[in-house]
Amino acid sequence: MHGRIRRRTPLTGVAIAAVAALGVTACGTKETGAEKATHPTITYWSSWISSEPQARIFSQAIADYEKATGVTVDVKWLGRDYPNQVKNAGAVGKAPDVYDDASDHIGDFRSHNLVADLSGVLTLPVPNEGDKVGDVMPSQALKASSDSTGLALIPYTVISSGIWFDAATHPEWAANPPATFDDLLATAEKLKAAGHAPFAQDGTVNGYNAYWIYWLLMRHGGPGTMAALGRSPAGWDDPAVLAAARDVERLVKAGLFEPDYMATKYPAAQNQWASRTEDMNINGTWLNSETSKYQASGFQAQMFLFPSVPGGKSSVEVGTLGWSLNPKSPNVSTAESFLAFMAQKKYMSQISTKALNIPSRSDVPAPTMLLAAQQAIVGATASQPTDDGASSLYSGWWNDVFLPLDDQLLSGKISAQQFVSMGKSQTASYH
Amino acid sequence: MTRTRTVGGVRGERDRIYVPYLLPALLIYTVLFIAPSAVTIWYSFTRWEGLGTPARFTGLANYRAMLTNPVFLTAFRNTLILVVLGGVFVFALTFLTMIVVREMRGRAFVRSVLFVPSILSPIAIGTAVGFLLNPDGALNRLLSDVGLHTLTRGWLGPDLIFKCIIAAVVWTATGFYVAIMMSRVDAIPEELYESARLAGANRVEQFRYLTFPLSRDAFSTGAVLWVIGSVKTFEIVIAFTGTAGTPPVQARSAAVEQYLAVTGGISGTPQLGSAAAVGVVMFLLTAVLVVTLRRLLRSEVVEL
Repeated sequence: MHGRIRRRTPLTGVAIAAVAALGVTACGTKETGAEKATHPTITYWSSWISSEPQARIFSQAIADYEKATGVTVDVKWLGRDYPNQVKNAGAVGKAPDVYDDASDHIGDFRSHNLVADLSGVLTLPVPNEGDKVGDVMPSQALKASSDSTGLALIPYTVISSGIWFDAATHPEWAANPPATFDDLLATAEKLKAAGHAPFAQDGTVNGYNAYWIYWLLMRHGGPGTMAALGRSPAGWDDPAVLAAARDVERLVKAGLFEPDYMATKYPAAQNQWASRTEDMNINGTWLNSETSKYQASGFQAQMFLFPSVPGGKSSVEVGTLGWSLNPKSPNVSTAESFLAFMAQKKYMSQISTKALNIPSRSDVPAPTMLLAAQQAIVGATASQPTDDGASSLYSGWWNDVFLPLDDQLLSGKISAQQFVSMGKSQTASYH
Repeated sequence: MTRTRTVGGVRGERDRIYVPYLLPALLIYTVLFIAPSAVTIWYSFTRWEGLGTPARFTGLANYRAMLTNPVFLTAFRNTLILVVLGGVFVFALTFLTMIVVREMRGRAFVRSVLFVPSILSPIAIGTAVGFLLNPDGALNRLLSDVGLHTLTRGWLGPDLIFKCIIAAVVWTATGFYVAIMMSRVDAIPEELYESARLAGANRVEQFRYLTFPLSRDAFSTGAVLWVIGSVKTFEIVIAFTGTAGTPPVQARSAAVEQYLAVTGGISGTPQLGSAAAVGVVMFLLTAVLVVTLRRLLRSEVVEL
């Protein structure tokens, strides 16, 4: 998992932040008094480490860019703690020209004045191709990469979530996945009757547990329903909330997870799914690459979209990973041309073939296991950010109210009705 | 009591001559400790999202929010339970070890073995926890294999995880306090034990009337170290809960709450003002506990 911060390593994170705070003066770009060289040097700080597929793809693209333009790209492969390093460097005027960003980090970087408006990049032609950058990016991906101020990042990967299965064991789901939530429960109950545990759930990861209520809220109430819960107690009065909670309650009461799922420590459950112990796992688009080492022989990981509910809403989840520019950079125009260069099909296609992720360009097909998600995103008319934006908009409430309450619902400790009434009162107390 | 210091005169001048020698250390201490502490207290009265953003003065808002937040109160209560209950277990086991090991052959080796958990990396412990305590982990398998299937549990679930964390803290810390206490016990002359034995004292009585009174100063030091260390309990919680999500409320300590405020949790924006307020409360808790403990354990040091 990359875009969400559910897998950060706190100890190293704290340590690196401290080191970065002390060491930022040794690196970064001078924002004032920079000498205008004929071929400037731009700095790029990445969220990937050099051994990862994305770093290898971007390294090649950077080498090609340097050869084509004479511009030098000073790249640092920082890994997942890059936000702290970028913010700390920005605080002392040493932020890089270009840095990796994710749609759920925009607000954080924006509050540090580190986000340039990238709408100008959309009008640049993609080198060696006829189209402009804006022509090849799906509108939902650009929407996910923007906030109320404007376009904050040029995406290279689209992130979503859904229900993963093994197409070798269940080829019928590849062709006809369960269409409704009722179908999904009926399918799972048949598997249970045959002695299977249908769903693998790493129940110690509260963010993964929240996938169920999140998707059911999206299906019953549509985008915005979950974010409204964090905004004010009134959000809980929406009938869609109780309907979604009742569906989670049905899932729990049916006993469709592995034994003691709430005590399963990540990544045990997803690896069990990869070894065919369970049939399905609700997770992000990164699951295949995360579990590839543990997949049983002949395993064909594939994801179907979360099924619909009667009379419900249809939307797709779109999060993005991409590149942002430092608005104080003296090399903004060079950095913009660099982003247009990176958007070429020959590099974006490797996001699909080598990194096994959904590329941001609509004309580059996703890997087979994610094709359904990509097609849905490209054709979607409605979308929501990961967690409906609730985890980043109301992070304190999310950690202290919503996730603990959802864990109680998913573990069967409270009913759907209690979930709603407690959620409303606790949200009121929190505010 | 004789007054040994005089104000003014030759003695006073001699005292003042130390001031320039003390100054560099005082300066470093002020810059590296006193000033950052003062700044932290100031930030605890602000809303601040980190370097590069303005800090807005909000008065006592962070403290009010903290003390009315049931999650923080749970974390605070967990910290107290860890300090008190964990401390009782740690020192009960330490005393038991002192009774058993004092006369044992190869006690240096036993002491070293007991010390090993103290130096284990939390990352290693975190990995081991998955192998041992997952529902299909080694512990449940072992219990099933020996016919104790009814005792198998979801150890890492919300109901049991904090108890498991306390057990792990006791396991990792006890060896450290055994080492401190035993180093003091080693200095007690053997003749005293011979006399006690001749007087008919058994091992427990020897501990009660000899070992404990003569190592009381080491116990006092150990207890203070325990309080300071356990109030900051953090990495062992993360080792048990992993880094993929935020720890369940049942497992959170005050330091974990502070960490969540520093990082913003999942996808959030850091709230460093709140984190500073948690830090101030943790400092006050430590100060109160240490002063109370020092008063309770105050005694004359016995010269051997």
